[in-house]
Amino acid sequence: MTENNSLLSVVDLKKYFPIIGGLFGRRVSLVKAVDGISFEIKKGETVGLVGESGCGKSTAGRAILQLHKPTDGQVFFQDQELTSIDPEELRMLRPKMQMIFQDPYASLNPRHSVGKIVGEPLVIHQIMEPNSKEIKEKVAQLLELVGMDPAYVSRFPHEFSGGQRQRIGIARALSLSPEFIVCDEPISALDVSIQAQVVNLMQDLQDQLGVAYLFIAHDLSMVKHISHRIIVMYLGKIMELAERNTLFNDPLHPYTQSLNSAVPIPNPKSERARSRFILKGDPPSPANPPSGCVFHTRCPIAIEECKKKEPEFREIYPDHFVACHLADQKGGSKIID
Amino acid sequence: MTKILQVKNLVTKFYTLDGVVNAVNGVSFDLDEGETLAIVGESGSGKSVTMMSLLGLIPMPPGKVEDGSAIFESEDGPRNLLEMSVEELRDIRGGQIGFIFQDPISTLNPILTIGDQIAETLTRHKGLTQDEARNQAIQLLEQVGIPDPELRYKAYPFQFSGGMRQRVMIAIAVSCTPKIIIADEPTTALDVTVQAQIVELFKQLREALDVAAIWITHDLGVVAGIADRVLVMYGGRPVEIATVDELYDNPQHPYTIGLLGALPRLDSEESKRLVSIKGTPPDLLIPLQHCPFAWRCEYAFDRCWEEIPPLYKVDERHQTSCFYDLEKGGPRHD
Amino acid sequence: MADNEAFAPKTADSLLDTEKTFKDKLAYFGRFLWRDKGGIIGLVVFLIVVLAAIFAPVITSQSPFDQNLRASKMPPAWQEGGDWEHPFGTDSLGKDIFSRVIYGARVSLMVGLFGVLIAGALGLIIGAIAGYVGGRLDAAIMGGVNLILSLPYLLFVVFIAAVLGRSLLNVILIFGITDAPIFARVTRGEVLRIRRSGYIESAISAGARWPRIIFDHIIPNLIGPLITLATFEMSAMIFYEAGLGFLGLSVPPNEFPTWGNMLAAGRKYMTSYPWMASFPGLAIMFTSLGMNLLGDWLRDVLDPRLRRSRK
Repeated sequence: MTENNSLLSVVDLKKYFPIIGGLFGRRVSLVKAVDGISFEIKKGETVGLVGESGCGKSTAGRAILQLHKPTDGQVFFQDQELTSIDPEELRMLRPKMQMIFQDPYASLNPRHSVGKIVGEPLVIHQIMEPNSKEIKEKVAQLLELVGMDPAYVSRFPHEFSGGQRQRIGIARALSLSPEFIVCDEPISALDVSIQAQVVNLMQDLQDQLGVAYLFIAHDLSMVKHISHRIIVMYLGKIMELAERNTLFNDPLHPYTQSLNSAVPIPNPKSERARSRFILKGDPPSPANPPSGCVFHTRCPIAIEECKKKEPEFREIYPDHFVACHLADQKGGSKIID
Repeated sequence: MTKILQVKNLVTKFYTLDGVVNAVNGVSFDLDEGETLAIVGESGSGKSVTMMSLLGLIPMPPGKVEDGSAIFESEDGPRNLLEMSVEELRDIRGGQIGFIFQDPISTLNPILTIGDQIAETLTRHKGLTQDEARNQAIQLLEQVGIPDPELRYKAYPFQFSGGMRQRVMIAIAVSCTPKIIIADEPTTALDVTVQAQIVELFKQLREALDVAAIWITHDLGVVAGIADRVLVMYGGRPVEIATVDELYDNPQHPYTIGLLGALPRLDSEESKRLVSIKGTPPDLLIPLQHCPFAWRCEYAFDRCWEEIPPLYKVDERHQTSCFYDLEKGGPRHD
Repeated sequence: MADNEAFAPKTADSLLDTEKTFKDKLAYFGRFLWRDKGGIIGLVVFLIVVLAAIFAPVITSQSPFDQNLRASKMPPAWQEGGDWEHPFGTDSLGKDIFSRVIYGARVSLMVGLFGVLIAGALGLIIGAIAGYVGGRLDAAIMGGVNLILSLPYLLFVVFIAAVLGRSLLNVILIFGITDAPIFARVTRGEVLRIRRSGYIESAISAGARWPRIIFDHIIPNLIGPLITLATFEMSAMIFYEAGLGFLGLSVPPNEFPTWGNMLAAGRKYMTSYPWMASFPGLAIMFTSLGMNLLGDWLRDVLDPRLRRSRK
């Protein structure tokens, strides 16, 4: 791992949520939304973070940006450790690490004009004065960058469609020229034909501006398309981390293999020809995770050890990490050939 | 092959405060016995409204089915669904035509046990006694893969996961051996591994019961796996109908091509740039006077802005409503 | 490919470009109003009451204070013995009821307006703090709020009136304080809802500090629901004033006519000279009903979610 290329480093990050109950508001139990994840993101790369409901991917994204205060672990961004610096310093770093949100309908203040929304970060960090000629030019520039007509500055969010609102959100995130953007399901709420527009835009912006993305989504096909490397999460832990093609061609973890098998391919002949493996059962609740390896309850090749001991997240091949007792270079963790 | 459903020229509008929403603008399609037709479209395409119009589920103000016929080969012979009374439709729904909706948490009654809900359908449509219905309900729960069916009979919807609830909906849908199952985005809200389970279950039941099905979705991946024929809708109009192989191999409508090109493929090595269709989904408040796709189409020419294109025959069982002939590379001659 | 400029906009989104002319907006507003006819009624009633209060000296030449014992207990003009100089008749001391009702509107509106202003200001601050800070402070504040709400309203009012004396100012103060908890509760609820909204998270991730979040993001989104609440509470206060007056705890009748104290004075004569209490009673009903209808309609208008939104 080349040190000078590394932008973000997450070390054993944990985020637990207490469940409050009872008469006196006591802590009844703990939801381990994120339970010890570690990975790196290099400058200008896209790392996809994929998983099903309850896996903790959204929480992970927010914990990295310190929107949730992590319960444990560290996050290094440009050599600053984010969990321990003081709030003002963190605020000063925010311009460099931004977020794009899932719900284009809720993430824009309905009472603010588009111009105000896109320009707000610049005003907050006192880079420009509100209503100045400077900021108006910058906002117009940003809107054009995301493919929107700059004349829309005085309009309000409810006048736009979902795809357009998402563009507004992207323009806002870009206003401070960040180096890193966490994208939390940015296209899930959009129609298929619009998803392609937004994804193409994001890739163009990456080519132009060199921004790195953490692309959080549940659509494995889209994640594979846009990412360089992919992290697969399950119940708060990372199951596998690999380069995009490797993850599909040579998945080591049984869960990754099931995911690959479950994703439908838009080609009837391929669909008919596939040998599918259907995973049984439902994803368990993060409030009540299984012992040992969190996946063992649904794993078709689980052995005794899987119930008792949590597997180590280790590098099996160069840049290919797995958390599975059976994973080795001889294919011990393969379900299907 | 007998046609179990023939829909001709369905037109449905909604009279709202903002104006008249032209949700469905003349949709026609057939359904053979035992075949699965997928209706594909994005938001505003009119795919859900089409189905709801057939089942009489459109709220009558502000909605109105203005035109069209839907001949269903019921037990009592061919009947036009659009002319049936509320009572008659209620009889057919859940009986001869089963349905599965997207979000079972809102369609299942939260205060009845799921066993009772299945039994209720059975007593209502098949006239079974309480005991007979209960036994069959338990059998159905087992068939749809719910573990410990006797125990789960007494459970309430909120105690089930999304996937399990959908299995219950399927049990209810197939309970009275329907002739058609209509499923509206049944797996959209589910995790991908659960979706695979439900699709698998559906395929098994379909084969066992030899039932016809209409599967409504925006997901062209799911469609490739389960459909025999596909109807693509846009702006309340049918834009292409074909067998599933024909549609994916040889799409003739620019929208279908655009849609297929916009999909990322899990099995592609190269990360080719996705084809994006410029513009946004149509505004249904504007009465349709020309091809609804013209704004976004790279092949649009004068005629596209003057008339609404009818369905042209491209091949046996392949039609498209487009004035531009892609194979020829020029405007189509009638 | 033909040039389509002449035919139609290039893309469907340029429907945004078709400038909504003022006429279009007015037409949309008109349809909105017409759909909810209650809204029109409410608006009209409210305007009538406000205009009547403002232009009282123009509407009636009679003074609300002049006693005229020879003309006392006169029935309304259209009944036998009535006179159009006193359209609604006179009370036991010969004061003109019509002008007292009109001037009484002033009191009712002032009580309503200032009462709501005080209650709203107090409630907004308390509720906003509770909702924003949360935790134990929230629990403590809401505990206090609920305590006040559970007090027997009448006892409290009687106590204050006894201690402070009867005056318009005191009436307004009482209502301001007793109604503040309701504003606090609603504000707190809205703040909690808004805090969970995506745009607040977006503001935080952009680096906004709490003053900006509160003043720029939360408060503008609070205004809608609070205005709606204010209309309802104003209507309620007009009612309460009547109740107070009826008990003799409102403004003393010789100081200023209020609908409440008119009711009190007229009660004795309900069987013999019913108009003395009936007209103020009708005025109260009319105003209250109108304001409630207005509040209902405002709630629909101010809710941005109900505005036409595109997919």
